[in-house]
Formats: sequence, C-alpha cells, structure tokens
Amino acid sequence: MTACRRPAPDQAGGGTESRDCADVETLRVCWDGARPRVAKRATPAPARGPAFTCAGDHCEQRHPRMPDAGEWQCMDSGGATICIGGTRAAGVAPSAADPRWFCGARRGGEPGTRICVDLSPDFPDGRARGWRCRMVYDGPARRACDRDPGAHTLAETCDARHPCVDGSRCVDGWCVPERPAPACWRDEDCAAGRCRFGSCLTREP
Amino acid sequence: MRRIARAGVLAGAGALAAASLACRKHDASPVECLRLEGPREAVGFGGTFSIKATLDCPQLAGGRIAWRQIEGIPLAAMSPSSDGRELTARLPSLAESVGRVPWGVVPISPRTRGQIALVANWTDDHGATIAREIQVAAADRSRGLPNTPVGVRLYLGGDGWHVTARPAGSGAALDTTGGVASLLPDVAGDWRLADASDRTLALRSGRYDETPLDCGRSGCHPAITDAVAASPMTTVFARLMDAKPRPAGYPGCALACHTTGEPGAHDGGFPHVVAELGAGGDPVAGGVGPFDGPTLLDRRWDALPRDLHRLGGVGCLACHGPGAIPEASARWGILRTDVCAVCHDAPPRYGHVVALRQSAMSRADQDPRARTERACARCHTTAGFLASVSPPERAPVDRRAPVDAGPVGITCSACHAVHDPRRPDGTARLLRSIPVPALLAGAPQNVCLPCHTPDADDARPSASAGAIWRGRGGLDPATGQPLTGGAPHAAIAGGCVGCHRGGPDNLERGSNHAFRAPASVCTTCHPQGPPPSTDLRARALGMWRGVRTGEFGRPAHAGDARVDRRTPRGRAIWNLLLVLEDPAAAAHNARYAGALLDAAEPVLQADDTGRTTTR
Repeated sequence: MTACRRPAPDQAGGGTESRDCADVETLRVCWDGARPRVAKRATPAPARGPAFTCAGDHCEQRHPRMPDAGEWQCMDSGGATICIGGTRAAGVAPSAADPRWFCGARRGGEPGTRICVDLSPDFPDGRARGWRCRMVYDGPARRACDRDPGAHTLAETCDARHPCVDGSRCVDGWCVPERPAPACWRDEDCAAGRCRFGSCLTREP
Repeated sequence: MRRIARAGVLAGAGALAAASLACRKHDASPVECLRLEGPREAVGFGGTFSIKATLDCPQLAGGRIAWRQIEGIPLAAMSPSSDGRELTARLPSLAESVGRVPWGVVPISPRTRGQIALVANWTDDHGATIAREIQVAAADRSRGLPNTPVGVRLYLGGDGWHVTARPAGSGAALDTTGGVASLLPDVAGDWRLADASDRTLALRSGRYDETPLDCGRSGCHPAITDAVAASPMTTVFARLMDAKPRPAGYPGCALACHTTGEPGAHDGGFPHVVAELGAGGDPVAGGVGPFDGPTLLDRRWDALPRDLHRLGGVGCLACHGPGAIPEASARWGILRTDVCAVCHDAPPRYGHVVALRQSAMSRADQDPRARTERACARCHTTAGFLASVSPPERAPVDRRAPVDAGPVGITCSACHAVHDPRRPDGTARLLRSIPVPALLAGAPQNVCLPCHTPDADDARPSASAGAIWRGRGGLDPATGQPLTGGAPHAAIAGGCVGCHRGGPDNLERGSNHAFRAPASVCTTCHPQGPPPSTDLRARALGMWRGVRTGEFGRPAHAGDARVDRRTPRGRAIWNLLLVLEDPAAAAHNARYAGALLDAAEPVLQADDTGRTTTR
C-alpha cells in the first residue's frame, strides 16, 4: 500500500540526497533503492515540539506532536511514534499536515481510520537511545519518557552480535526501518501477521 | 506634554493580557514613564482592589496623580492616597453588573464582568502631564452553560448553594464573598451542587485542550462538522494570521474572541496553551530542549503546533464550552444570547447584544403565555422557532427554557445558524436558511419572513409585515380570490434589514441589531421624505371598532377572534386584521394596505348588522 506521505524535503543540502528520505532519530535515511541507506549522520536534532519537564529520570512533554489537528491515539515503539485515528477535528480551520509523518489507511479498520508514523519523535535530550517513551492519556495527554539504558530503538548501531529491533535492519552499521507504508495498528491487521512501526512486514525476521 | 496610554493590568503573561477582551482603538504613543500596577486577575464582584502608580523615568519626580474613572459602573469607596500614588476602590456587585441574576451559572459578558477603566493623570508643578489608563475586572466571562472550563471562576444565581459531589482530587470550595456564591473548578470532572431548596445543578468542568473534537464522527454530527468547516468563525484566526499584511498588533487583543479560551485563565484555552508552550513567559521548570516559543504568535497558521490549530478560531468549544455536551435538561442554555455575548457584548466596539436587547424581539416571550403555548412559542421563543423550522431528521432535543428561567427572547441563534447543514458554504452573516412561507412563494429567502407572514391555516392573521411588504395575503371579499398588490420596497437590498438597520448611535458595530427603521433610511429613495399617506392605522382601528366593541388591545393574533374566510365579511375582516397586525403597514406598503381597507370597508359597513363572524 502506498503511503500518503509526500517525499520529505531535501534537508541535507548539496543536492546529493534522494528526496524519499526521512529523519530516523539522528540519522538521515533514504529509500531510493532496493534497500534503505543512511544518507547522513546528523547531530541530535533540536526538539521540535514543546519542552520536556523532567524530574529525575522521568520526563513529560505536554502538547506532544501529532500528525495533524485531528483526533489521534499514539504509542511509542522502538523509538518511533505510531498514531491511529485521524478523525477530522470539528470546527478547526484547515492546516497542513506535519510532513514528518508517514500516513496511510488502516487495513480492515473503520473507514477513514489512518495510521501515521514518525520515525524521529521528540526525546528529552534529542536522542532516542536510553529512553522508553509512551503516551499517557489519564489527565492531560502527554508524552512520558523514562530513562532506560536497556531500551532498544531505531538508529542504534548494529552488527552480527548486536541485532536490530524487530522491524528494522542493519544497514551500514545502523538499525534503520524499511520505508514505512503505514497500514496496521496490530499484528492482526496484516496478512502475514506482523505489524512493525505501523507497517505490515511481509518477510519473517 | 499630554499623552495617554493604556495598560492592561490583568495581563497574566505579556501579550496575552486579559484586561481588554475586546479590541479597541489604541493610543499610538505609549508613555512608559508612568507605570501602573494593579490586580493581575479578576478580583471578584464587590471585591476591593489597589493600584500602585510609579514614575519610572529619572527626569520625572514629585507631582501628584489624579484618578478619573472613564468606563464602567461608578466605583464605590474610591480612595486615593494623598499624592495619588496608590488607589483603592471597590468593584460593583454582581447584581449591579449583571442586572437580573438568573438561577444557576450566571452568564457574564465583557460588558457585565464588572470591568472598569481608570485614567491616572500625573502632573507636576511645571505643567507636565502624563495620563495612563488601566482596567480592572471583577470576573472572567461565562456563557452561563453548565459545562465550564477549569480555572475560570463561575458565579451562581440563587441561594444556599453547597457542593454535594465533586471530582476526585478537587480541593475547590464554594466562595460566598459578598453574599454571592462562586466556584473555581480546579480539576476536570463532574460536580453536583444544590441550593437552599435542594434544587440541584450538575456541572461538568474540563480543559479546552483536553476536550475531544470528534463531533463529526459518523452517527453524531457529520453534517454540522462539514457545515462549520467553512464558517468565517472557524477560519477567522487562520485567515488573519496569514493575512498580508497581518493587521497591526494581531492577534494581541483579538485572542479573547478569535480563539477558544479565556486570556489569563488556566483553562487549556489558546492563550493558556501558548503560555504552556513557552511563548507566554511562563517558565518550564526543569525543561530541556526549549521550544522556540517567543516567536510562536509571529508564525503563520500552518506553522503553529497542532494543539494551537485546535484552539485557534471560534470552534465548537468557543460556544458550546469544554468538557461535554450538557445534560438534556440544560441544553436550552445554548440558545441564550449570553453565549454569543461573551464576544458580541463589548460596547462600544461590539454592540450587537446591547442593540438586540433594545429590540422588541428580545422581549418576545415576556408574556408567560408566549413561552408556554405551542402556537405562540413558534415565533415568540427561539426554541419554538428552531423546532418549527428544523427538518424532521434534525428534530432537536427539547430546548425550551424551564418555566422559572424567565424571558429569554428571540436570540441570536434564531436568525443566525453558525453551522447550518443546508448552507454548507455559509454566508458572511451566517444567516439561517429557511424556506420562504407559502404565501410569499417566489420571494427571496429571508429569515424574518416565517414569523412575519401569516400562515394560510391561521385562524386569524398573525404578524403580517412580510405579507404587506410583498403585497400578498389579502382576499377579495366577494370572490375569495387572492388580493395582490405591488411591492414597491421588495427590491431593497437585504430585504427587511435593508431598512431595519438602525440602532443606538453610540456603538461601533452591531448597532443594526436593534432593527429599528429610522426615517433616515427612506431618504435614499425619498430625499424629500416618504410620500404622504393617509393615516392607515387610524382608519383601520376605526373600522375595527365597528367590528368589535372596544379598542384594539393586544395583537389580534393573540386574541380569540375567529375569522370565517368562507364569507365576504370574514374575508373583509381578514384584510382588516392584516393591516392591523402590521403597525408599520403604511411604511411597508401603504398602497397595498390601503387597498385592503378599501376592499374591506364597504363589506363591513353594509353588513354591520349581519352575521357576527368574529366572537
């Protein structure tokens, strides 16, 4: 299924990067060939959403980013944020969707239900590694992150002894995902029974 | 040297000042040397406040400050210090500010929030003068609805209020300062209050930014959601943020009415979320990765964060309130003018409500019978009118006001439909789309006509201005055929409001909502004044006395006369009543009204001893 995301703007400069690229944590990953490639290693990106408020190893972000102004429920998985929903917000003026999200229709769900994936969500220190995050909906909706040195995420280094998180592959020593084709929220949404980072995986790991 | 500058002392956070909830003309030369410090939040009805004046420029010293109130109900106990550097005064009471205090959540508009404005006038012995203005308010605005924002104090009409149930985690208590009960909801959830007679009031408090906007889900309000998408109210903020050039100072003081939420309140509204995002000056303790907030309101619409998109504009919650749709028994409140008044009752700039309250329509249900009898309620109450014009598939819940609510009048939502599914493209004035009455088939659509045109099934003519205006409705007494005439004023642009556009002259906007038709509107076509006409009404009343004993008291449509249109006499009386039911028949269509009387008169004179067709 084709994702409804437009190619991300070329942020690398120099004209050497494919336009079908996205930030994956601190990496710049392109999917212009048969397999993903790491186009550029970036320094930690500045937070693009609201600041985190931290107490010890626990940080929270109010007003977390979401794909657009609609109604969404989001979760974190391996350093990516996946959202389901997309019901149009009533009484809200049209606005452009955030181009950093990959979006697609959910397979088998209610008509109009969409799945969106952000491969570079906000983290308290700009890096996914070492954080385990989730969306919290009791009380004000917020993104909560706890320090967890054992958490594995996209954009980690990898080799034969250090495998990547499920749904990503080791490319040039980095764990990067396939090009997202968001369509699933649960494994049951996929014919092959594997939903990772909002996309149905066709191959067994 | 004489300069005046305004100081918004309710400012909680820089540009998000709450002091002025309506944009006003600003003096372009702020004088910073005279600093005024007053209360930063609403101080309560009857509350005492202090203002401190300080000279900040070293070249200025000494002198004294005189205070003058320039706006609001005259302050009681206004007590300046000997040199005027400090002023203490007491704000008006709730009753003084609001007038009649209704039971339950008291609606509060910019006009009734007890806001006052003072000018501090500093002078020294050398004749130097600096004047600066400051505003103080008693309360935040309220729509009067039972679903209410967290962080905004609500006032209660009635006696003996006590809380019987509250949300978990709430520490809020009723305040009874000055004998008026008020509550500042501190957490989201359900409240139940009871008054001295154990009459209960259910409240639902919530934050705007935590309220779902999924009203358009299938099975709920998809058509309304479609209709509201293009509404100018929905898009006003987006359009002006992207305007080239953006209006000077925008959004500034417009936040209170072009976005959702109360400036200065911690209600999850647009100004509050801006502050939470870091652009309003509120510190984000312990935060890392600071948001580039200081320029947030300089951004274009598309570049604002998602949560501000949801709050930027006059969206669902701006009128319906946060939290949840109220219980069915409380939904009548959404039809009150008070909902719109939170923005449109800010004279002298926004005078729509002030003007409307001067019109007869605002008192249309003053007679209890007009509120309770179905036939009357159709045009004397907003709920009755909307029920009569709603298509069956949209039959609304019963939104009749409770008997003890008193008169509500014909309110904004009778004429204006902010989300009319039958008019998805909206109109500039958001006028309701209503079919033209059968009697006036072919006439342009006009929201006034259904209640100002008799119905063919009426036992006697009701308000007939529309019929007279269009030269329709009369019957040939002899044959019963329609008696039609010319419609010299039918071509006036705007229809009824083409002439009925007058009102108080001290209002900048909305004065036309008094719907007066001053003689001056005639001069465009009648520079020498309206054509002379015989006194139609006196003639009609004289004829009526021949038909009925006694004077023409209340409108005939509210009386017990039954007109038998099967007889020449009955048709003559029908014509006569058509004229009498329109007090301005001579202005609307003198020739046609005269023709109706001409047709009726010989029949009534010849038949004055015949059958009585009215009783």
